[in-house]
Amino acid sequence: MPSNIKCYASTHCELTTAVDEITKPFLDSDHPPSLVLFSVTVAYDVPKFYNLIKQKMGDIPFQGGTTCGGVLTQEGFISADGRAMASFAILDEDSDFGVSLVEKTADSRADGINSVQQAIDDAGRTGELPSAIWLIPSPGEEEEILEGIKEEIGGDIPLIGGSSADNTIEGNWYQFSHDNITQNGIAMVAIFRDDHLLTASFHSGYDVSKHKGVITSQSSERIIEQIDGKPAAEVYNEWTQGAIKNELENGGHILSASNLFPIGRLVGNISGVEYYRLSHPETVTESKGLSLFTNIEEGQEIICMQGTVENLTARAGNVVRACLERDNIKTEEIEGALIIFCAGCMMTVGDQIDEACKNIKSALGEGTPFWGMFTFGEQGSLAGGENCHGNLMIACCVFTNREI
Amino acid sequence: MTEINVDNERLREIIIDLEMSKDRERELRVLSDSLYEGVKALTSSNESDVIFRNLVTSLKSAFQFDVALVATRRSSDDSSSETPCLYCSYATDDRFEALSWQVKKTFARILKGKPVVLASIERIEEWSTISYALKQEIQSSVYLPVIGQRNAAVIMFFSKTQGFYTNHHKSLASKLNNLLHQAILTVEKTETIKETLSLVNSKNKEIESIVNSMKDALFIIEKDKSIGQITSPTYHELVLSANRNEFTTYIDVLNAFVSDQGADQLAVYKASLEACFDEDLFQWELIKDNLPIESAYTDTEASKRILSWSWAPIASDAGTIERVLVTVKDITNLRLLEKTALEEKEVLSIISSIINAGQKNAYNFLNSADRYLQENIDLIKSRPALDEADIALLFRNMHTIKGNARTYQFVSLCDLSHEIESVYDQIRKGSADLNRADLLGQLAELEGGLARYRTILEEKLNFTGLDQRAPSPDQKLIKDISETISGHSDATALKHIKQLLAVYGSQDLTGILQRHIDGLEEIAEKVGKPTPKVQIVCQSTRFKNSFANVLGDAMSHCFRNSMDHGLESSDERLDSDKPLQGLITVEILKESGKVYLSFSDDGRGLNINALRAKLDPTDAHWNDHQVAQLIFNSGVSTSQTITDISGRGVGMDAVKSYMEKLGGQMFIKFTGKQSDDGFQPFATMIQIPPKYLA
Repeated sequence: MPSNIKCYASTHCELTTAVDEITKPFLDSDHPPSLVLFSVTVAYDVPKFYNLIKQKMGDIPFQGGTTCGGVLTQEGFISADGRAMASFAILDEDSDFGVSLVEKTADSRADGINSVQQAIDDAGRTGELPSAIWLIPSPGEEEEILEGIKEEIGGDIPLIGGSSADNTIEGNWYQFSHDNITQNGIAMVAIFRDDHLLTASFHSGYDVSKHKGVITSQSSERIIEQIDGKPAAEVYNEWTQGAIKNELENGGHILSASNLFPIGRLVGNISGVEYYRLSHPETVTESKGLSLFTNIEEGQEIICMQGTVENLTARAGNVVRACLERDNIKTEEIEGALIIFCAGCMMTVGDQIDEACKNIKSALGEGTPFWGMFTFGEQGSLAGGENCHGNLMIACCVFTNREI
Repeated sequence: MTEINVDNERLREIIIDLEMSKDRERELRVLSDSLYEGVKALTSSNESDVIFRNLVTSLKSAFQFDVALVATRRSSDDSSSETPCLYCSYATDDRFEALSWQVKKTFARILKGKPVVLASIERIEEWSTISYALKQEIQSSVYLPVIGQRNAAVIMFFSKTQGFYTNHHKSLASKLNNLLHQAILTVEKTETIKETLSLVNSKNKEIESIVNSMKDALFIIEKDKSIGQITSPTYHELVLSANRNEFTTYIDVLNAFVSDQGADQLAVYKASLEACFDEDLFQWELIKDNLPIESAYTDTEASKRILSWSWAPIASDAGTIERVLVTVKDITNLRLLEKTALEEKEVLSIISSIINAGQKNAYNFLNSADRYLQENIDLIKSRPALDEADIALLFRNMHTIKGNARTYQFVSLCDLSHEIESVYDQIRKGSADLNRADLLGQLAELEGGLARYRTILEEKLNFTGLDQRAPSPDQKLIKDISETISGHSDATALKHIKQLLAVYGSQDLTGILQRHIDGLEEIAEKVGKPTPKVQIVCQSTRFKNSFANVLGDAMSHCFRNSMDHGLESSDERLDSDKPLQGLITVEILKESGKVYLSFSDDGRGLNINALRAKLDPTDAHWNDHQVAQLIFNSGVSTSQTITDISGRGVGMDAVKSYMEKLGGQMFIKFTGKQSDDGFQPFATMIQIPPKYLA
């Protein structure tokens, strides 16, 4: 039997009212949902929000995290001065959903293993391969977490996730499940959708430029000190034709300036067509290094990607279309979708975010419920099936009623 | 590989999608190949092991397994538990062949028809018993449920070197579901066929046992006319009894055992049987009465055997007749027993009728019948050609025998004499040819019948014509004479002796008529009239025995005529204001020195008009008295119907003939006036010759 997906959002200034608005419709239903995903901006008191929904949800399993600046639903980009919350409720008696929340440790790979095992166990499907993994980690160590997941269940399982975010990049992000809430953890859902097709895609919205080089020095997992033997910030500034010239001397945040010029690393190619994962330069260090939101390795070749606002607004819809085209899914087959949208991209497109939302709606079909959050790092399955963590990416997961 | 530099992100995505489409196409090709090979595997054998082995091989390209294993479900050996177990029935690696495990959560899901991919077997409860060494052979595994209507199996593919199985494999497993379902159905169908065959064999043995124990000959006629394999031992005995070793077709059987019924009838039987095959059961209803029920044949010992046949159609599921089951029973002994029983019954019946009639009456009847019979035999044998008078005499004699037999209710003799009388009648009327041999044959048959009665009378009832309880007539006569003459003069004694001798050699009228009077009730019941009252007047007159017996026979005709024609039915008598019970009067009249016996009834009288209608035109001037005498002519009757009582117009002819033979006379005397419709009351008058009066 097909599932029933509903998405609700609120920007009400009263927390209680806002929570009611995104939970009451399904709580009043005769058939409680099988799983609910929540996203909330830190403009609300998130711990209070969590306590409130925990009380209201009772035995209904849920999972969620914080989103940057607003939420996305079929109603559009929703935010009131950075204040927003949304719910994604799915009723699907034929599927199993398992939720886990694991506090990060020094061994992120093990954290990944634990997360996926617990989620699978929670679904009652111990040992089985899930149909997809949905995760919201705290920013940092995402690559290691994915390695752990891969070790446990292989690397070909559709995976979609986004690192939780705050509105100001101050580390106020949260991850939570019906069991607990944390600011440094991994909230995960193992989805066992045996009877109906679920598909996912993960794309960037950038083209490659002619500028490329090799990381010749790094001071940490996420800081490039030199490219081709030169200070990384200087090289990057040249590649971007002075996009970070103001921060070159004294260092500082360059997220906004680097939005249209992510660092790309070759992941693979399909019949010679290369595809990349992106890293978003965050700051210029005092040593003119570049810190990123992803791990890098010395010796890796990097390429300067380039994009435009138009590309970014358009690619949200393109990612969804790519997801659908992969299995020739018709809009009438779509029950709902989850969207992970890079917070940096959202900030870059600014007011054009509504245009991006329209593209998503157009791709999914008018009225199709969808739910998205803006994240500080995205995880997804690239075209070749590789699960990876990247920046400035858009991930999409579509629930269909097509029987497998 | 040539790298293509594509700058446009959207274009790159399109190219990637195209390439992924190629991947999907490849996947479809793998699926298609797997299905094709799988279907081939299904048709490769009827043995489940072989089917599953071939199926596993056919899926190698799709699942790239290192080890494949087929496990089938069985109920737990522990009868107290309902938990089913899975047993390895086939494995590509010998080390897995001994595996078995209880079905728990994960395999319960699989057995509900859900393909499963296990990322890790370490944490699966069912696999907890598997050895560490075997676990090392399994990094990832995929499980394909094979669910039938009765059976269930799981095909498992284990990967160690081929990496993780993915949801793509799970999807592939789902797409193979129909193939796998068909596989298990094929296996089940094979099992069902085996079970059915086993059941059929078992049933065949039961049938064989039943057939072997049957005392009747049983065989089956196949559609191709041949005799089926199932036959009872008695059938083989029957075949041997016809001096044959076997019969190939049912036609042989019929020829051997039913040919006594003639070629035409045999042809009907054969055609009927031939017409029933491949027809519905309705056709059987039409032809079943055309099949033999009983037949006779002569066996190898030249004994005549009688067979009873019963036929039953064996129809297919579609209701058409496929075979015919035939049961043949040798009923020769049964028929003999029946015949004996019938004869015993007949003897008892004869004994009963003799006792009812009185043994002495029976004795007299037999003597009388023998006389008439012998007269007929002598007549037929002595005359070169029988003329009309001869036939009339034959007829009268037989009519008398019939009438007396009826009087005493000797049914078989009555029937037989009636048949012979009918033949004489036909000869007399010219509607049958006279065949002397046939006539003698009929009389021989009657002679046998009479002899049978006599034998029973003498041997069963020990009656020899003498009253054995009473003193013999001679002893009684001597005693009576001795007592009578004692104390008398010679002259008086002589007179008394004469009187005594007269009594002992004569009968009074009541004695002569009693047997007829006793038989009236039965005749009355037969003709549907009340039993009449008989009034005998002047009983003191006695008739010598030589005349009394003839008179008694003659009187039987008079009584029968009176019952059949003279006395009316109850309704008619009511309409005529007569008492319901008729009255027959027999009296002795003495006129002008002559003695007459008058026999009359109070019935409707003689139908003068009917008799007149029978007159030859040249005799039309006859008066009624002359016309009335016609009833003594042979073949003249006023009755509209012929019964076994009277009606052929011969009774009175016979009576008159007997009387005249003894020197008597017989005539009709009117006793009242003729009615408007031509009926006139009368009495039958017999003039008794004085020499017969005692």
